[in-house]
Amino acid sequence: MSLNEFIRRTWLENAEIALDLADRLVAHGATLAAEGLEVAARTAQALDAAHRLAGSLGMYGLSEGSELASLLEDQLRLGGLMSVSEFSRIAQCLRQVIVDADV
Amino acid sequence: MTRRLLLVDDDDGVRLVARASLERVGGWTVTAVRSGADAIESAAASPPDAILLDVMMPGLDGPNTLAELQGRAELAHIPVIFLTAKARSAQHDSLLRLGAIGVLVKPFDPMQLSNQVVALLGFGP
Repeated sequence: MSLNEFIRRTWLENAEIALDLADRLVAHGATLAAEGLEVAARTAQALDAAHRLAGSLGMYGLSEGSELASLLEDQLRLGGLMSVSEFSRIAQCLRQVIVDADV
Repeated sequence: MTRRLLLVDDDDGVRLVARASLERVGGWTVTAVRSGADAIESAAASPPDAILLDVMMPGLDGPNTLAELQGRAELAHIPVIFLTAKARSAQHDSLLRLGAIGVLVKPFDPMQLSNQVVALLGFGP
């Protein structure tokens, strides 16, 4: 099996996990919009999701996904970089990149 | 002789792809583990020629794993390359100051990963 084929198969095995991580970020944005406050435990979970996606999606050729996840990671780590609505919009775009992925 | 590399990352997908890349493209013999604690145990049992070490991991993270390795005379000489998803130069500098010989950024290009490791180490697999 070629390396490219191996990567493709690995993506197929991990796509559901990636989508779950993206859903976690979408849910985090929705919670922020509804409650308007950060909760440390939830933020830590979202940060973990963003970090994992930022570090892995580009490896499968999904560079845009890594860049979007990196933006969310920076916001979760540093704060003050974007509005809640912008966070939610980016999280939705990230989710769509994964849904549309054709690795 | 084939060079041996210890790959440490808690992400299953990253570990699978990096291992395949290093073995198939670079000809390395790779041992892959998911945590800093497992890395120290593996390195002590069979010291590799180099270690590719994720920075952010639950439990013992990359910097603390490096400190543990440096604290053991039999392991302190093994060159360590950090693998990090954060591309900030300031963080790179701080990681290098800990004693790593280089920092590679995730996501990596699977076709280029081995070449990047070789370039940092100054020797081939």
